[in-house]
Amino acid sequence: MRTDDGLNKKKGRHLYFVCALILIVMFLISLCFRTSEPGFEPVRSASNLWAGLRIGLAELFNQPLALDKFDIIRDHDFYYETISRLKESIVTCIAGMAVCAGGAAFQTMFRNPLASPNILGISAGVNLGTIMFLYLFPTTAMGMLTRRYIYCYISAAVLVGITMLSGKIAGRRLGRFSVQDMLVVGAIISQFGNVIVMYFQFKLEDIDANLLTSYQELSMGIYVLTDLKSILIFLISMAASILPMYLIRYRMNASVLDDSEARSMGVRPDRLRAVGMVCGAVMAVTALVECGDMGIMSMAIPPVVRYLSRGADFRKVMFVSMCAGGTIMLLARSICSMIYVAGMALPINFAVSLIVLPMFVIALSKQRGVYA
Amino acid sequence: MKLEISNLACGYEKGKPLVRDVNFTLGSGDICCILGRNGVGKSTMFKTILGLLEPLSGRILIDGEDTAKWSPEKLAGSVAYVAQSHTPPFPYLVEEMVMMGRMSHIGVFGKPGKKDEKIVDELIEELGIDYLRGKPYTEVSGGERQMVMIARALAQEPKILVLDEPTANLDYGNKVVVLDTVKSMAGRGICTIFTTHDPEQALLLDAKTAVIIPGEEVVFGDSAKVVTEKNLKMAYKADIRVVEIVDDTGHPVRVCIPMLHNKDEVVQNRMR
Repeated sequence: MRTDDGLNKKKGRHLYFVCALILIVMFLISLCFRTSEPGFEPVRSASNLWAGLRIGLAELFNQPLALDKFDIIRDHDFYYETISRLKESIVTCIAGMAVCAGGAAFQTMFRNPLASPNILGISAGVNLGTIMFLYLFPTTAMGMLTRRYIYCYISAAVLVGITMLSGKIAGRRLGRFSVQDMLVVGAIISQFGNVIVMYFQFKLEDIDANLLTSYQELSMGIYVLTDLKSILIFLISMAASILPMYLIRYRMNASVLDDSEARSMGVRPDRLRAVGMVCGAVMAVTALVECGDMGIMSMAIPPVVRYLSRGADFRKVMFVSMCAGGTIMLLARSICSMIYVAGMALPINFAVSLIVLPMFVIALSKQRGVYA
Repeated sequence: MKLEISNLACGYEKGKPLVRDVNFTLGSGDICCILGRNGVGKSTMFKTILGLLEPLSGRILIDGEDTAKWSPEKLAGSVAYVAQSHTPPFPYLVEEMVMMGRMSHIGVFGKPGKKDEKIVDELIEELGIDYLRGKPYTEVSGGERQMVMIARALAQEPKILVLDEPTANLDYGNKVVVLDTVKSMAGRGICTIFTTHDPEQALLLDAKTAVIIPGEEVVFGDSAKVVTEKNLKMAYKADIRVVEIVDDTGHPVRVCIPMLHNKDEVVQNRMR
């Protein structure tokens, strides 16, 4: 093995280690921010989490527990805040990781450095699902957030299906199929979905003006309000989509090649893309339902990672993008949980855009000429 | 290794073959050059050999087995392909591009191991592109990219290598490097099939040559016998002189020179 090659591998391993370490540190910091009375209290947070773990285990195994031994009796409010922060940190971290992994996959599959799962109409589909859910259950919607997943999955699947089908028909009629055609079709279908959303926004306002506020709250993400059942759906969906993509992460590199080249290498690009698209779409919908639109992350983080880490091997891009996505979401959550505007915490996508956009602009300007 | 192509007809629609009556046999270490004008069906024939298109009729046999029944994975174990030109939209490093050639040896859920790394390292050194390590593929020159693509195809450890116009858009220096590499691959026992618009490359490499003439049976044989003024005129509908010169070592070398005096005739012939 060559020495410089060995050095490159060592650098690669260091990069993985540093990225994972930053993510873990950010996760721990995110757990220790007190937001009701802003402050950084790692010891009390750790003590509360330890208590929460013991209470949870005792409940699970039906064991007796002497609550007077725990500080939570004396620190009831902060205990619940810590547990809620744990929930929010887990959800935002995984959502950020998934959105970036999905973005990296779509950019590779569509051979376009600016592609993201949203180009297929996923964002419009989730908004459509949310508004239909509110329209059908105007009085009970906020009390049964789990059901929102079903509406969002169905409407996103319908819009993505229409996009894919229209792209295929357009490709056949033109005698060729190109990624650019698919992007144009996706933009048109998304716009079509947005028009329906706008129509129902007026309808909701007609029924009750508060419903429109609920729609805005849900669109910005419900990770603060989310319940245990929703978290379980979230975690299962994420595991079911991230795991297959992680397993085929090296194979994904072949989808960047011309189809004839990929086939001559024993790869079936159509199957690879199908798996990648389904996984990416599930990740994007699940993240959108919980944390609102973070399209900027899926589009911007993978190019920044390619710029910073040199090379474009999907294994590296996926791992580092996931770590970066998780870290940025945790940072954004910590910032937003401390800034209240009109009695509400700042939407997380506001902080995400503020953090990501400058990085994206710098990476793009530095990479001019690298992208052929 | 033995590649047999018998009565092959290739095309996109049944009953409308672009190329028909292709018959030839190649063995390990053979070089085969395919000549023919633009749009005559060279790439279609390549796609058929690569299993990307089904033959309209006829058979392609590798070591006596019909490749039509082979899975893409099995075919990739025998045949590798170097496309004319393709630049990925991302700055893959040169060694990452070459490593992609090992994809057919790595399972769906797998990743490159030590053996794959060793093969890639050796190929990069052997093809003299060691100095490109660590450079993004998108930043290297056209000739260097072609060498990287050849290295990637060789990483597949194929018995047959198919190259689509490997010297297109290259300067003389890079053409020499690529042709020299094709020759050295023959020395390694790899059967190489390539297309070109420079018929003298077939003569320089002393390759077996197939000339695709529209509407006619494919002419196949040794380059010395097949690359003639008559066949070239039928293939390209242009006057091309085949002249003999003597190289530095005193050996005769044949070169092809297109004549420019009959442009109108060429256009009229092509329209027929």
